[in-house]
Amino acid sequence: MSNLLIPGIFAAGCIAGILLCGLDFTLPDMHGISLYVLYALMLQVGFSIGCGDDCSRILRTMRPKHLLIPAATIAGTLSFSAAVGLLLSQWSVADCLAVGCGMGYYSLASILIVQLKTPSIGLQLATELGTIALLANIFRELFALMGAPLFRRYFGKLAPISAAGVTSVDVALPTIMRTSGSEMVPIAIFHGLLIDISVPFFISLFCNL
Amino acid sequence: MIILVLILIGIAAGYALRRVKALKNVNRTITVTICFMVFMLGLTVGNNSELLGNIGNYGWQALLICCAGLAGSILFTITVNAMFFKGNNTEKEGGGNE
Repeated sequence: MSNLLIPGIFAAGCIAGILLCGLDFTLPDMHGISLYVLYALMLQVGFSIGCGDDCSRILRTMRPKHLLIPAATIAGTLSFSAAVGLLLSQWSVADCLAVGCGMGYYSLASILIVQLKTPSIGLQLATELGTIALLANIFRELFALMGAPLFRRYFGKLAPISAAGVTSVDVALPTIMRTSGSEMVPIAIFHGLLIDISVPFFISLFCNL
Repeated sequence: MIILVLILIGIAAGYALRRVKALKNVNRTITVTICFMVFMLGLTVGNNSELLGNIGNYGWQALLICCAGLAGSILFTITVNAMFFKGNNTEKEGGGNE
């Protein structure tokens, strides 16, 4: 059910926005308000990573070669998103990289992109890119959930984890357990945690290019 | 830059205070904060008729970036799997010749 929460709230926001538009109501400067909310959010995200129960326990069972799995997810996502950046004339390669490197973290990716791109390309374009980021990362989560059995069958046990991106630590974890087996769960959590940390880093990197 | 510093401060604070039970509710406050911000994003999109009229256009661009990222990550993972995880993670079904 919680899968539908964020898209539902986005839709509710859209409807409220349309209604306000119909009433000829101009919105106040949202960028200034939500910037501080974003800062508070980043502190909380860090906090939850720091005080998570799984963190230290999972880290002990991992070996250095397991770092290659999140590295492959990140490298694969970034290189192919960059290729799309070359195809889409409307956006730069860095813009497409910023959208792609959300890796399923749609709420954070869209918000961060709107905030970080507004000073350089203006609120209109930043909101457009943020909307693309929201949709692209919602699609990724959906495909990760629905495609997991296919990915497992044709591409091996690690494919559902990699496809899930950041959601391999939460939303997609039950599906990964079912398709790849419970022995893959520590790897999936480790993978998700590392991607989780990398998403804000990469988005701010590509938004500032 | 500020964002990364805030995350690092958060991780350090979270680790230092990890024994405090009440602070485990931070995931709930994250959900509330994200909901608030996503609502604001929706409000901005809905209030912008030009953007709303183009939502289909953004949809296919989003689909393109999503599929590319998905294909890339799976492709790279197959390579890593074949090179470094042969033996413990590869398919076991092939061995059923008894």
